[in-house]
Amino acid sequence: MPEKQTLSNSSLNFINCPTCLGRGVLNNKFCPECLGISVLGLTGRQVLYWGKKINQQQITQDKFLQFVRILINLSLLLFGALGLILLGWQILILLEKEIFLLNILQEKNIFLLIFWLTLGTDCYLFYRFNRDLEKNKNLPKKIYYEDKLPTQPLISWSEIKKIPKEKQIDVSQYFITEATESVVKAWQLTHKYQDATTTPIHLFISLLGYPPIQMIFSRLGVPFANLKNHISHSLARQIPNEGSPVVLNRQILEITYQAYFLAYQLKQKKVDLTELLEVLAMQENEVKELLSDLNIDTNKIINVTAWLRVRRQLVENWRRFRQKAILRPKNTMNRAMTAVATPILNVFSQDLTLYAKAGYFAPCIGRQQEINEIFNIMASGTRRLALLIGQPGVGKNTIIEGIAQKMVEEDVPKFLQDRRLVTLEVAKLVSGVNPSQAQERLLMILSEIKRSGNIILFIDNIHNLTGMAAGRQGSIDLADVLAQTLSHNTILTLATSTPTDYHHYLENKSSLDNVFEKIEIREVSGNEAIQILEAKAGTFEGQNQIFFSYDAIAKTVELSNRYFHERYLPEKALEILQQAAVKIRQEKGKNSLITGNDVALIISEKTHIPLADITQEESEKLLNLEAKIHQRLINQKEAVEMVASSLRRARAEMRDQTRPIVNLLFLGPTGVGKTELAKTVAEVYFGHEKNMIRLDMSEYQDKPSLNRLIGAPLGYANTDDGFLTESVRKNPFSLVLLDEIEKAHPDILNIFLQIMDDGRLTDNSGRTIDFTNTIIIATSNAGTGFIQEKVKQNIEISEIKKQLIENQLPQYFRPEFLNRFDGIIVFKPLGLEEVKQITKLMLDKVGKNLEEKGISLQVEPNAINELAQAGFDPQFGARPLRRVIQQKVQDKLANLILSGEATRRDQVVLAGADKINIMKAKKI
Amino acid sequence: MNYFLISPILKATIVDLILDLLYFPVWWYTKGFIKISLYFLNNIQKRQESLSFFIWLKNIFVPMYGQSDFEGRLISFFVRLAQVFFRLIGLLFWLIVDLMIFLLYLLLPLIMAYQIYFQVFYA
Repeated sequence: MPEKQTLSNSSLNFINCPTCLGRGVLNNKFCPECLGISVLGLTGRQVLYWGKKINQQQITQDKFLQFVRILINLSLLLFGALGLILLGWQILILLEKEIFLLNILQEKNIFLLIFWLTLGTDCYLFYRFNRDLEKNKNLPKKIYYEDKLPTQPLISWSEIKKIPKEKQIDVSQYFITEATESVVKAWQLTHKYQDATTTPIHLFISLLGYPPIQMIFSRLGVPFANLKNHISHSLARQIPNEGSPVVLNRQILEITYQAYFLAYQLKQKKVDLTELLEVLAMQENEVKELLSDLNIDTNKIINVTAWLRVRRQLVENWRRFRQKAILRPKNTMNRAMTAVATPILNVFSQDLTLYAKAGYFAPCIGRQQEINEIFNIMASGTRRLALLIGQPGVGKNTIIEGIAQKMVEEDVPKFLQDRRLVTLEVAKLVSGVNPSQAQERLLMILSEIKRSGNIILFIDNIHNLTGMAAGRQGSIDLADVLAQTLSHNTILTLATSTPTDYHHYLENKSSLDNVFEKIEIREVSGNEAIQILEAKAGTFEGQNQIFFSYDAIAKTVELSNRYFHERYLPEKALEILQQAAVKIRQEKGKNSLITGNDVALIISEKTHIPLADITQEESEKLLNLEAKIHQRLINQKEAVEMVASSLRRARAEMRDQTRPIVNLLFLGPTGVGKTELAKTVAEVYFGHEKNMIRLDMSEYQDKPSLNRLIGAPLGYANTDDGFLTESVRKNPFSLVLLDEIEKAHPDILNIFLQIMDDGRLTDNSGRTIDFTNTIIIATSNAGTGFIQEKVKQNIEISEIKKQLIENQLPQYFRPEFLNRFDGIIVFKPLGLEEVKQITKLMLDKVGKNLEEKGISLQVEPNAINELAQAGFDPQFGARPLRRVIQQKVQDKLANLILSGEATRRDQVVLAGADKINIMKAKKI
Repeated sequence: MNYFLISPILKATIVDLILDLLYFPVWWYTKGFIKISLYFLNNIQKRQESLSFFIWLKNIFVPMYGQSDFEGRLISFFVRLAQVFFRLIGLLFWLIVDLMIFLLYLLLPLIMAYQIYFQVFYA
């Protein structure tokens, strides 16, 4: 006989009734085997079933019972009050007669009889209230290491009856009243719409009637009309009832079991509406599809329900915290009165536990693992001091504050109970004194701490203590003084530092390194970051009287993570959230909802990258990008198309996020518009052509010039930051233009291999510079002669490009370098016709300058022709044209303006290359 | 609503009420008793915590303010002794108050029954 499959405690299985196959009805009647409970839930140790009867009679009976219950309770309450009044009256009479009060027990009258009767009914009322409370059971407490406990094998339906009663769980008893009511309402809806069985869509409609669920959907930013529309479509698809009794279908029963199971896993006391919704959205059903249509995936629902739970938890924690905090002393003394006064320490420190007691710190969310690790280190081992190493903004100080709060609650290991967490302020310690005096201060402080015996020391940015030596260089510094005392393990200490500072000042350099056990505090990400933000959003919401949608929170995490690489989560996201709250309050007023798009707009303002939802206007602009670029650039159709499509890809977020937005190589003779196109791209994508980092690669022809590009390594005479790395670090959202790349040294080109492939580069000081938000455009004159020759022979540009890549370019660049480019674009040499168009564009610019002076410019076609002829050079493209226009038009205009011949309101007519007429305006 | 629906509902409601009434005394001295006992114990624990009685008792020989010389220890012992004494009185006061509530719970139905009997039948 094959061995039976064993169940696990961490998952839930279902078993169908074999008679009705999980349908609950058979031949239009309840299934005789399961009586409608068509499916059971099996955990490793229990059998779950839905025990609450739902039918028309039961619903009416429940309502009637509820009515009677309220009626009885009210009458009992009134009767009780009457009894008290009678008692008071009798006491007054006794007092008037000056009879001893206890004699009331021997008094005999009808009023006292009524009073004694009311006392009986009061007891009965007390009993009724308690019974009502008992009806909704609390979930059993989750057992740790449950997975290691023995579990039952997967059993068949017939074996269920053999399972002991205490292991058969009626999940409906653990639901809060509203949750049970929501399932009943779902059944009523099915009845009303005359559908065959109660399905997830009925439960969904019923859930939407409850405020917590409505709040979830408003946080998700779903318009109610939209939701209603989708629901009515789903309802229309339900199977109509053909006379059989309405039962909860298999999916609904599974949802109730899963909701119970989820609440148990989450260590909740009862099954709430949120668990029902979460499970409903996780199960493969029509509601999931409906939500997916509204752009709500399961992940979103999980995070928003978690948000609600965290808020409830925070309120509960706060209540418990206040109760416990009352017991804590208000001064520096401990409860056992064994501590010694610490007057010197008090000057140079702050008591974090006192701050925590006063409710000064925000709650610390989701850092239990790190806190436990700190406690473990402090509990035992040779090094009982913990050094928290993490980037600025990842939450090192929040963890310390969390420990202070736990110390106030006494929710800490024994060695931390009834103690103070005190932060030593290094700036105060060293200010106004020389190093030897600072050392003296420190020694006194340490001696006080030792004597006091109730102090846990905390030093923020402990690396600041290094380098303050009293004697010559190399003699003992503040850090060594501290390390010597701490090495005895007599003062429990916590400290923080950043990875860079730790590496520079402590690691293998300072004696402090040997006394601390290190704990890496990692940056939070994804759902964890979202949930931290959700917990903290409440403060901003309260301060500014606005509301965050879930999308706003998720977008803040996503975009700040993508675009601000210099700072860390959760701090950088919290800052954006705060700014969004203030801005939206000012713009939209009280009680507005902040959407994901609002957050995108704020980040867009900071980065100059378009991030908000694409508007109709913008999408038209993007689709007609070629025309827009052609307003500035003549011809070069292929180049413009390629650039435009890569910008569209970037804007629609269809690009690879780990590489630069696009890497392009522009090839062609001088003066054909390569740089002009780069400038246009900078203007279109980054908002202004100034957002361009231009590198003239002819300046980097030798190997040592690499140091100018990325900075020289330590030890070199000139260790300035590199031009490229520093520029991109300061302006990560820019276009990098590498002019005349073929002139650079081959080793320098190797650097760009990495940039173009990985989107990052490490500079001389070890910082990783992010290039993923740059557009890299390299221009080159390589193969110019070849291009010009082939164009003369009227060969197709695509053919020229092919030959160029195969035969010409390998002379200048290695194949792997060429492969890194997303596009190699060949610019055609300009003909006279194109130069004429460029002349017109340039004269338009001159006209705009004149307009500012109140003078208008009229250009005759003849002038354009003559100027184009004079400025055209097949070898240099449009470059000589600028000089010609300068000499023949701008210089002359300048003379006319200076001599006063052309004044405001006059019209200047450019009749030929050398012929300028002035039409004077009428005098007023 | 038809008669066939009303009749069983009324029946169920009446049965529910009668069972509830019968269970009342049983509950009072079983589940209710456990509940009130836990409340009593919890209350005592809270009073003890707020008075720090056991902390003072535990540290009775530990010198206060770190004064570990002989004089310090001597003075500290007597101060702590006085503290323990007064805190014990406080604790006892609350213990008596809570105990009275607890006893009242236990005896109230009996007193009440006796009084009703006394008021109605006693000549």
